Amino acid sequence: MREKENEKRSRLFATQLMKQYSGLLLVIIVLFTVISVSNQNFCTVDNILAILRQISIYGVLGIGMGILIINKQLDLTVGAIAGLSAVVGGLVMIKGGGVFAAIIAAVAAGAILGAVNGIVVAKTGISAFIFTMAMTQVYRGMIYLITDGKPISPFPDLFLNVNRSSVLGIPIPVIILFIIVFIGWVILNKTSLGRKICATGGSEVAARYSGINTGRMTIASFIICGITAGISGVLLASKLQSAQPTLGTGLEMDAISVAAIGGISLDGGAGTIGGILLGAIIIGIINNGMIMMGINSYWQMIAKGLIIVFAVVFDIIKKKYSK
Amino acid sequence: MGDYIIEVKNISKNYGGVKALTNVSFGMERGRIHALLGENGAGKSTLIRSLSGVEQPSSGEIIINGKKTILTTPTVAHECGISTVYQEPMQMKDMSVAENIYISRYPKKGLLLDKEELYRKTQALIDEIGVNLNPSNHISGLSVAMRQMVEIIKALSFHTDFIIFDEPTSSLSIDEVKVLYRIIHMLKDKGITILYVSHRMEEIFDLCDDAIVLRDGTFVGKCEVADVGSDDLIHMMVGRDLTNLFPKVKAEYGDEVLRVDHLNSKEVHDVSFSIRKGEVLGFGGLVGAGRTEVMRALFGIDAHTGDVYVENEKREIKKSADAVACGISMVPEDRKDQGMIKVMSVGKNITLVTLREYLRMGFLNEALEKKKIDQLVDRLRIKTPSALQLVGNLSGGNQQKVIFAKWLAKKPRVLILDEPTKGVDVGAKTEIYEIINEMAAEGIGIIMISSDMPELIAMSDRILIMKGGKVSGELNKEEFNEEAILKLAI
Repeated sequence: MREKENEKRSRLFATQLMKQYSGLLLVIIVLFTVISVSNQNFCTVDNILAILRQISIYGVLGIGMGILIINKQLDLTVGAIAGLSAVVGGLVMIKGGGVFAAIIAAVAAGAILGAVNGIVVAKTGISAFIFTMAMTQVYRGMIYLITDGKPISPFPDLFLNVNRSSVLGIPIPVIILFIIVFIGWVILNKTSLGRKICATGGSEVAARYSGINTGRMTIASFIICGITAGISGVLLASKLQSAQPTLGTGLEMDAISVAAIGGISLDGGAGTIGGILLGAIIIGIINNGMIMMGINSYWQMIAKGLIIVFAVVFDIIKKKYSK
Repeated sequence: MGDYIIEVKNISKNYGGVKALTNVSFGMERGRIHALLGENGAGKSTLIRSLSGVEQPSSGEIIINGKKTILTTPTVAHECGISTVYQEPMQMKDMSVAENIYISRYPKKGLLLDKEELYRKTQALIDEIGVNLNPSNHISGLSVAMRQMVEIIKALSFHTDFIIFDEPTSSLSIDEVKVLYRIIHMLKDKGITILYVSHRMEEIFDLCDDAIVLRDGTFVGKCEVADVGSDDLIHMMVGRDLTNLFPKVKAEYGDEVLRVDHLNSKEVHDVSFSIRKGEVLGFGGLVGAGRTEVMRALFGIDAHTGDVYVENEKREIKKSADAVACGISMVPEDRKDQGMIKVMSVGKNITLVTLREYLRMGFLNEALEKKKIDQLVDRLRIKTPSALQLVGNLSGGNQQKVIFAKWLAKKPRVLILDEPTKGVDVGAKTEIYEIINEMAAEGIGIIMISSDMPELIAMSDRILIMKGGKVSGELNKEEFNEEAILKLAI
């Protein structure tokens, strides 16, 4: 009896999953089939792990950005925050502060810069787009001031191992991605903070009329986004084996793309963490698959752009249809 | 067979699997004012959208002046002489009155726009209906009433012979309604046929010649207003008799639950009042008298000075979260934008202010939440396919019930209701009054702003009347009557 019920429940869960993510899953299946047919090495455990490793950086950032977009805000400074976090972490290590202290300092730097963005946006009401666009210059300028334009290196092996080691065959960046995905899912679905962030993004006025401190929700989402930017800065520095002044440039666009492909509505209030993960996987498959198929990188840019348009248009059509 | 200006034949409209209209057929005689009645969800809006070219019916015919016509777009409808004046007109707010009227037909001198001619033409139309408007006024500076006038003028500029009014009075003051009445009569004298949609029964009797009634997407009947009473019309609309429109039950009063001393804000001047447990304190006055602003200040939305005591304890209310923390709750006037999060589900809207109650070890517990939601959906008889339905997809009355449920979950001490039945149909109205009774019986102090005079008189235990941001008078139950309230309000 109970088994039957469990089976029924899991089937219900599966159909709901299919319904919710039908578009994204379809894109993944099509891409997978097309690329697998043209290259036998594509559909192997090694290659799939390689794809996951590639997406870990913008996947982590996509989660933070997605939560921020659900709050109906946007942060264009995340690339610069990643860079500044990496520099802060790098300096800590160079001065002999140890790897753990460095990572904590880097993530804390991300959180603080996120908080600065959030506080200014929440308290002054300036458009997040304009403000963070301007602050990108400020943060990037700070990086050049601190580093004098030179890369920070070398890093201890322990730090480089973050990128290159595996646990039970799974690369550490991939493990970190899945931990962040899980935490993001918990925040959004299982905490009152997440619910209030959704409400604020859905309608700031109505949230305020429900006694929600909407300014605080906005600041919290900026901090969450800043933390993920700090983590991706650490991952990038470990991968590149140095903290260069240009580290993280353009990362904000990847993060926004991941969220947009994953069905996070720029109107706020709606979106899921699962969608963001699938969005990141789609970009990963495109990048990896096109290299495998020997398509040159200029075409990759065009393909990525078109996929974003396709994903968003599909989302709009789906919404219209369901009404 | 009369001389029909517009006749609809067997019109049906489906949205997915939902039938909004089923085989609706009727005709409208030229030169009369026709009322379109029905509860929310009866299909009035769909019918209006079909007649104004916003949507096409799934099947059926629209016959205009004896000719079968397909209204593919609002522009085609305009060209066929059909115009629509909406409750909140959709206009280009940063453009002038004249530009809004003539945007698609801007007068030109050669290649250049001719602003003088534009203003001259617009002024001529303004003079025709005799309202106080300037062609160069920006829309953003006008009241809703004036913006409706702009729409009427626009209709005249198209030489329209059929105007649809979609609940025009729901956000107008008494004076503005009078002006609107005068203009509608004038339009009738010009030979223009009117289709008038309203939830207010007295307007139908004041204004309309015929009543067309829809229920559940079907045509119930058409009758001359002079031949029927309001009970007959309500019976046609709901399909049953509503013996008592206002089932007021007086609750037993307890101690004072809220006292407001010398409240001041930008629009509110020295307002003081108090309310006891179980009491329903009505707020009367004209639209714009500062009633909503008092509540906004009290609820911490607007900055203010003055003292607020809840159960005799002085409380600082700097933001809405403070108000909720001391047990004050609010069902705001603008349901769609202030009352609910449209993109969230019915369930999530209901639990929004009580999230803390469903936490187990710091995380939301779905089962606890669901229990509360089911209980409230059941108790308030919220009609929804499931708690997962987006609240934006419900009818107005059910949306309002969701907002009530949200606060009921919280068990507030004071409940502020700002126009609680605005845009809510007759059947759901009565249910909302019953909820108000229940909440009063539980000892909640209720503040109710209402511009619906019969509602204010029937449901309040005491009425404060406001004028120009100040309290202009207070009436006890035995002194209630429309004249007394109006005298203090004007």
